[in-house]
Amino acid sequence: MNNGQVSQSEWVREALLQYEGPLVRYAQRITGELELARDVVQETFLKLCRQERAEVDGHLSQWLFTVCRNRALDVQRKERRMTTTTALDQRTSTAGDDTPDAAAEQKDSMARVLQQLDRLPDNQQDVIRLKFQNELSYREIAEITGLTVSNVGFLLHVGLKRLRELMQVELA
Amino acid sequence: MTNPAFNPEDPRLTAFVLGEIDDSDLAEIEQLLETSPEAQAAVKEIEETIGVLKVSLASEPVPELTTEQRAAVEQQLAGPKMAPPAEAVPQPTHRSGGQAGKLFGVVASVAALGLLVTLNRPDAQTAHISPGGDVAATSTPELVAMNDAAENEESFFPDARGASSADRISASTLLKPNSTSAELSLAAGSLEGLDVSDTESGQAGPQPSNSLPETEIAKLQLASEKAELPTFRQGVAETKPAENSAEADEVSQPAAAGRSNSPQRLVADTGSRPQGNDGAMKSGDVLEGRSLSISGRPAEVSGNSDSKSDPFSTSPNDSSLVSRTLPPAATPGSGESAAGNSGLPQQLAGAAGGKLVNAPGVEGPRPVAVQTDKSKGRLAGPAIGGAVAESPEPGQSVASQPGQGQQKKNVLFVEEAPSAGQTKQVPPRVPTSEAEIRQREEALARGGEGKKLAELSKESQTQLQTRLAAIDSGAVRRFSGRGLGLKGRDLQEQLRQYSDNLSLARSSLERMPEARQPGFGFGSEYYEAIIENDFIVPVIGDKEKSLSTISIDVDTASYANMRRFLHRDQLPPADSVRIEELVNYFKYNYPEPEGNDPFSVKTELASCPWQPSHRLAMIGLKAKTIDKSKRPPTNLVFLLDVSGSMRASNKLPLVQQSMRLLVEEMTEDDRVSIVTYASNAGVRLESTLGSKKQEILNAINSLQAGGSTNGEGGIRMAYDEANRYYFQGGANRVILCSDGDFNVGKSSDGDLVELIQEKAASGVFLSVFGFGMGNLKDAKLEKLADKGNGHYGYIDNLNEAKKVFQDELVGTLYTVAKDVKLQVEFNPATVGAYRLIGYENRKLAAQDFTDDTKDAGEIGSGHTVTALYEIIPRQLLLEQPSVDGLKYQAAPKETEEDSAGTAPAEKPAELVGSPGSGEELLTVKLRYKKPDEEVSQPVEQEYPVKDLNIGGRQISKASDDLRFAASVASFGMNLRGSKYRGNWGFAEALESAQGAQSDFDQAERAEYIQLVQRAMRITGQQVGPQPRTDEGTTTRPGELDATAARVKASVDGKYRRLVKKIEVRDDFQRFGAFNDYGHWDGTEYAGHKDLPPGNWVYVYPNWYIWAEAAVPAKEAVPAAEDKAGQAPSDEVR
Repeated sequence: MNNGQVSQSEWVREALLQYEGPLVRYAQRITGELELARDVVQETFLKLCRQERAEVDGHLSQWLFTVCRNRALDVQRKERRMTTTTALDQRTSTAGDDTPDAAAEQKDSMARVLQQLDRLPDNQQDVIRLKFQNELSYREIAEITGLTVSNVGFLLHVGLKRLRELMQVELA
Repeated sequence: MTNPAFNPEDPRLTAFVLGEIDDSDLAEIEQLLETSPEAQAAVKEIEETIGVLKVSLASEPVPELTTEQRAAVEQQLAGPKMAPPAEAVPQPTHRSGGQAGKLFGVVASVAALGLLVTLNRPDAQTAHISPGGDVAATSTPELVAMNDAAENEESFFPDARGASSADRISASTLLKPNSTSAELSLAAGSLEGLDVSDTESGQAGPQPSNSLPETEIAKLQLASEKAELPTFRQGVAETKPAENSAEADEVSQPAAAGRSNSPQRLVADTGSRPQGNDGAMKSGDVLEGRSLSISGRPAEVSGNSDSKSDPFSTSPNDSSLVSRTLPPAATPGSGESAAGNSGLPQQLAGAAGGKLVNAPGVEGPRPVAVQTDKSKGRLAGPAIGGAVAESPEPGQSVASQPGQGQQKKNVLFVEEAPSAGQTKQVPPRVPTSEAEIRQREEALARGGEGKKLAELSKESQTQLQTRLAAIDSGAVRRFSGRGLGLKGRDLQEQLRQYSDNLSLARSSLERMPEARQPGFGFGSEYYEAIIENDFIVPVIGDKEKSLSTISIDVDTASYANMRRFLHRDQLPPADSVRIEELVNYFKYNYPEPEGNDPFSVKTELASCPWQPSHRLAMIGLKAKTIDKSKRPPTNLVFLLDVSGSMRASNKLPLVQQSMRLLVEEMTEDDRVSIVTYASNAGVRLESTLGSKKQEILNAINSLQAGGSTNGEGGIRMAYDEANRYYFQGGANRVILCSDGDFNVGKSSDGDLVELIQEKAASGVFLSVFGFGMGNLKDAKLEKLADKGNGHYGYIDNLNEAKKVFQDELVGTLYTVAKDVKLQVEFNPATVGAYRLIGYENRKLAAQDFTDDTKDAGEIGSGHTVTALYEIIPRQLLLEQPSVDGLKYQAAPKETEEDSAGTAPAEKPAELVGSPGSGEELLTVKLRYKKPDEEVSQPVEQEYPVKDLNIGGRQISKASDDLRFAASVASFGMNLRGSKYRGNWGFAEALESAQGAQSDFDQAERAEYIQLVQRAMRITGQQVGPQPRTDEGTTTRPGELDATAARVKASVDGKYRRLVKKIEVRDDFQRFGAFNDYGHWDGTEYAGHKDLPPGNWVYVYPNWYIWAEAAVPAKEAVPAAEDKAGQAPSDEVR
């Protein structure tokens, strides 16, 4: 028996379990397409399989998001697609495929927030998603995006501010 | 220092809110906030924006890989890839990570199973909180072996089960009787040893010890060292008490530390267990999918029983058993935490207390398969017993069935810690990441329930014993034990056979949704396992069998929680689905009570829709509605968890929004106080009259999450505050808002429950609202509410908040009757068997009905409560083919009845309206107390229900309410993967609901229908137009999946920026399946209002409205922009 291997397998499985969804969701933002995003995430995990665990332990999420993000950006460049719409689509479909009622309304309001989010510059969106959807720290985001920590803080601050303005405009 | 100037562009404001601010800047910002109202406003705005944003972001679907893609990864894993050195612990560790981080997952379990064990790495806080820490060990070979021993199984199970049932915790029935072997409950091991039989433990014991070579320990240590897991090492090596205590001290109280020795030792012993890896592998190999988990459970049982001794000391075997089992789990966990963290002392505690939870397996996302809780205190203490909770369904479910997720879940019990000197948590430092916080929460949370259980189990000790015998047999035969008359026994046989037949019939109809996708997210949530109620044969002379007694339950949390999952495109974990809460989420059109009666009772009977030869009885209560304008004054105390964890997602902001809603509803005479608990627990807002709304709002707005928790003071304060301003004749209520991480400062969660129970006696009611996602401690919150004379709701979004705190506020606040118990007596002459649908954790013993000291549910103004029973007519059972039950046909009446129903199992569908005798089937009785009566005169009323007359009554003729409730119950059963779901799937539930949309409760019912549709989509069922519900049978175009449809709707990139999508199914008749309509400025269409102008494209069944006609859409913005670190100034548009 090879304990190490089991260990590795379980480790990857665990990672898969935890990060699969968030990564696909995240990648989808970049690639704009679910299928592409899935491919990206699959590749990410394949890469993880080959990774020495010791090198990744302690910062697995950061590693995954970094690899996933870079790969997704590659793909996106190749595909020459823009990033913004797919998630929007999904959320509208969430709101749209249900008949009107309170729930739909509520979903609509969330969808509107996300629509406004889409209007932010990509890099602001990126850090916002990493921070608030994936709950990464400033430092981790900095590592993932190649920005400085203070840059991340700045983008978040400005992004939130801008988002608030947009929402207020909409409400007005 | 001069007062800093406020600059709205200062990114440190955001950093401050997010807890990311540098220490060097912290003081400055704090000072700024003290002096500058603008800065305060800015921070508040940021918080609000974040709150909204998080809620919205969380609503985005979480897509997953395809099965093939996952398989590809698996393949890669299987390949001869590099296998990293034996790092002892197979868990990914990182504390930093996002959601992921919160799971310090450890996979100790059998690889084949894909069962994941998550280790919570309790931090400092956690550690104490759950003094014990839970350790769920995955199966280890030895254990398995043990399990295999039938004897063990028998004895163990009963215990576990008995205890739980006694507790009325459905989950309790951990084991499925049928499941052979795999399930071993550790606790059993220890328990058994203690109070049951030595033999068992003996058996178990020896094996483990054999298998644990000393070398392993060494190995372990080695490994751990290698891995540089200080914590782990400690935990493992902890043979010396001194060390332990030293460690413990850091984290916990001295007293605790002292006690912790034994636990530690436990761990240490366990440490000897093969490294997680080893164990996991073996078990995998040997067991083939059986997962065993052991939990150290405080075996209160044992404690109670005379043998109060330490399990270890009591029976050597036991101890060895325990230690063995624990190690794997502990090991991984500790290892993980150590790795992830900088090896905090806490972890040690964590390890010792080691809390492991089984996270959903890869293949089946079952939330927490096993949970073990071991309290140090307990272990050490005399009363401590190590109980082991067994794991999930035997391997069968795991290994053999891919979709096992749905099958029953296991429960784990956590134990309780002795109230005494549990460790006190002294959080050494503020969690640095949300992940950490969550972990703490989890760890804490797990600690809690157990206690209660344990307590309960005390009471039920004796019952337990008596039940042992009955439990080993199959579920159906569970009544075959003592007390069953001959007749009953035979009927029981009939029932068994009948059930078998039914399942045969059903198997051809299988259409259960596949197991829940392993999704991200609920790995750390904890749901107590629910073992569904079985059919019970009423027996003359046996009260327990003829009477079904329940505490009413108006909780609705499960529904909202399910909705949350479905909106994330996941099926909820089976154990999160409490059917009665789904059913009770809705209002039904029951008659308003008359006169002074606090409620009305309505009963209705029809053929059972999913099993037409059966009956479905509905019992509905409606509480008197207090006019909103005439409500008495309220005295509310909000008890808010503002610990760091509440900041994590949409928690505190949503709480604040909810409170604002409520404040709007306040009258001038109402009072509100706010008590928070966190590191700085205290009264945030002294009881304030509703006339000072602004003051209240200011207090609400100033709430901020952060820091650690010191909850014990909070709850006392909350109740003190409520009592100080007690409104005689008004509503006095504490409203607890938490994510379940209700960790109390000095004591365990069990103590908290006790505390609440004690405080509830003061006449102050409690409402518990769960917030947040990802680590919801559902079971605990439910229990708290239950003990605090309260109600448990889950607020998943603002809309739900509006419902609870505004629209139905009166019902939320005003209790019209308490300790409401419902007892149904079944007539053995007409009822072959009955089954209570849902209410698994609300069942009471028959004698509890008249026992006023037994707590039961409260019912608020205007609330409706519905209970459903599925009934197998006696005749149906008797007429079973090929059963020698004929001799009982001579029983009075039965032979005289019309015998249309033959061979029911073969074609149930044809039996709609099987004959009925027209005689009484059941009688409903109620007891309750008036809300302000401490020891009241119970009011008792009876409502007989007669069977259907010959010919029966088809469900289609039943009331909308019954058909709707039946739909919800069926939906719930399908979500649970219930074996009782009969021949209904989602589609039938949907149809039934669609046909039952009266004007009543319209919005909720409509939403429900969407949820069913969503569940169908998630499971790949065709949701499309229902020929019978949508008009016409015109051939409709096929539907593309969302992504494909959207791509198509963009007309190859011609359009961009989708701004709206509306569903107009019938437009295909005018526009075909696809139509590029072009620009249109209309704002209303097909019932949709406020539509934006844009370019319309129809892709059946939706219209897509695009903001931009793509110019050169191909010109993507350079990707570099995405990641490049641009100068801040570039960012501002």
